[in-house]
Amino acid sequence: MIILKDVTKVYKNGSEALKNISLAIPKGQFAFVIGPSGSGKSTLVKMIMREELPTHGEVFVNGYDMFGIRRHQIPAFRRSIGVVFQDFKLLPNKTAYENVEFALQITGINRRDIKKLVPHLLKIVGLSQCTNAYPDELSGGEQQRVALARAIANGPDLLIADEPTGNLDPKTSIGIIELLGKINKMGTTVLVATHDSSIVNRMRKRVIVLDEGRLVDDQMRGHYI
Amino acid sequence: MSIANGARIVKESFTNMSRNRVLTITSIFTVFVTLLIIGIFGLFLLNISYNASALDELLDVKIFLIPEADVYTINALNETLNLDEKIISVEYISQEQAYEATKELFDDDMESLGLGADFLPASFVITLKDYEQVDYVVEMYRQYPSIYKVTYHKESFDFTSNYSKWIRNISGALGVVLATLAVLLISNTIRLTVHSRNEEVVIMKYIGATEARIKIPFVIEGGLIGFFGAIISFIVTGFIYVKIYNVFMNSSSDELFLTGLKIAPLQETLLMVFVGFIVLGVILGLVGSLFAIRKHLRV
Ligand SMILES: Nc1ncnc2c1ncn2[C@@H]1O[C@H](COP(=O)(O)OP(=O)(O)OP(=O)(O)O)[C@@H](O)[C@H]1O
Ligand SMILES: [Mg+2]
Repeated sequence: MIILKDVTKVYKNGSEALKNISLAIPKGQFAFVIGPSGSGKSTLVKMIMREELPTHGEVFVNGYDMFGIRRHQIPAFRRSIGVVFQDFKLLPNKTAYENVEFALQITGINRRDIKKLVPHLLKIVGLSQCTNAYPDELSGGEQQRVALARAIANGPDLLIADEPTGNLDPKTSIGIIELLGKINKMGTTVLVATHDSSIVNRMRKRVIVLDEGRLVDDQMRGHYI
Repeated sequence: MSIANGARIVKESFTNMSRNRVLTITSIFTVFVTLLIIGIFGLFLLNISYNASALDELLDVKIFLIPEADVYTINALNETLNLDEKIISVEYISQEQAYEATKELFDDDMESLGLGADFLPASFVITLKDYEQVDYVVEMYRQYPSIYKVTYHKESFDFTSNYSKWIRNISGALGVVLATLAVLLISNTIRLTVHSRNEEVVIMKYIGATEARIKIPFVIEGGLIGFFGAIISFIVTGFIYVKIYNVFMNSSSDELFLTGLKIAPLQETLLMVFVGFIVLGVILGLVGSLFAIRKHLRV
């Protein structure tokens, strides 16, 4: 599903965010990427969603080669993965319902299917009320649920989350991470970058540890040290 | 894109506009002010040129010949006038031509009054290169023995030489100031739009919307904003023009009339303003919105 071969990323300002990272995440796996602030977690996520390209090395995601991919193929590639962020990134001018609807619209699914799918998706994430509320009328936890419903709307093979619980209190965080576990059980590969030890230790899944851009540990049923 | 899809995107544009109310109003206001500026300036120029062409006829100098002038004298004078560098055009009007023209004016009553074809003198109608030299030219040709009279419309020449430069300078300066103002207003609004829309464009890209899908609602929004701005500025400009027009029409007997100034006709002018505003407004809106998101669309 995800393959990184000897990836190094040096930003324009000279800071070396990733150093010779090689790793593979197979289909259906649930993996955490942890490490202190500035260790390169977000940079790794950006490599995978092709927001940035590596300075050196190769990245393959969902069968797409990040270097070989054409500009006009990028939207289709992005629709084949779901992404979730710390700050939710919901469209501010759209309601909860419309945010999820938008993700479906852009793939060209017909209206009747959209009408059935959106409530179904919102139910999966546990949001059946306040679907007509705008993001600024929702709590952080509720916004992240909407973001999750949107991320899985097109049935992606891969879901990437960068600090999905970074803006949430511990109780809400547990709800979100359990939802991610549920999504993984439905067959989606899930990669979560975080420094929230409680969610990592609760799940007992694969843990990849970064430190100053280097891969320093990789345990199958790991926990936060 | 299907019709249903299109309708959805138009609805999305309207929703965006009402959700971003402050920015929408600011943008409509910008289009409104810009068009108002262009409109008032344009109407000013239109009326200047409208008056200028009416004035042109009044800026001819007529040289009347004595009845005894023979064909050699007339030819010689014609040559002199044509060689004069202060004169740009010369037209000869024979006694017969003058008689015909007057007959038309008086409904053929001339003959019953006992006036024959030799009643009116032959003349030259000349146009000057520089209106300020009219006194000099008139004085010079008055000296000729074969010339009986030189006439011209003194008020028109005074008006033209006094005001034409003045008007040219004012409209030039006004144009520069107003264009600068419009550009500043528009670029400022675009900067605001970019700032508020940046986030949306980035999110849409992250979830895999194509460039076209991101662009279209913005562009429709820009077009609508331009359209609404155009309507409002048409209403205001039209109102102002009707007021001024009425002042002109209702003062036919007093000073305004005596200046010989005219105003461009109401209906044609308003129609021209309407079409011009809608076209300009929509273009302004479209270009503005494309400009605002241009930078963010590079993946
Ligand atoms: N766009 C950028 N331009 C330049 N340097 C960057 C950029 N993004 C990140 N960096 C640098 O790369 C390094 C890794 O940053 P990154 O955001 O990947 O860390 P992180 O592990 O996600 O940190 P955090 O836990 O705080 O989110 C840091 O030193 C950071 O300053
Ligand atoms: Mg980070």
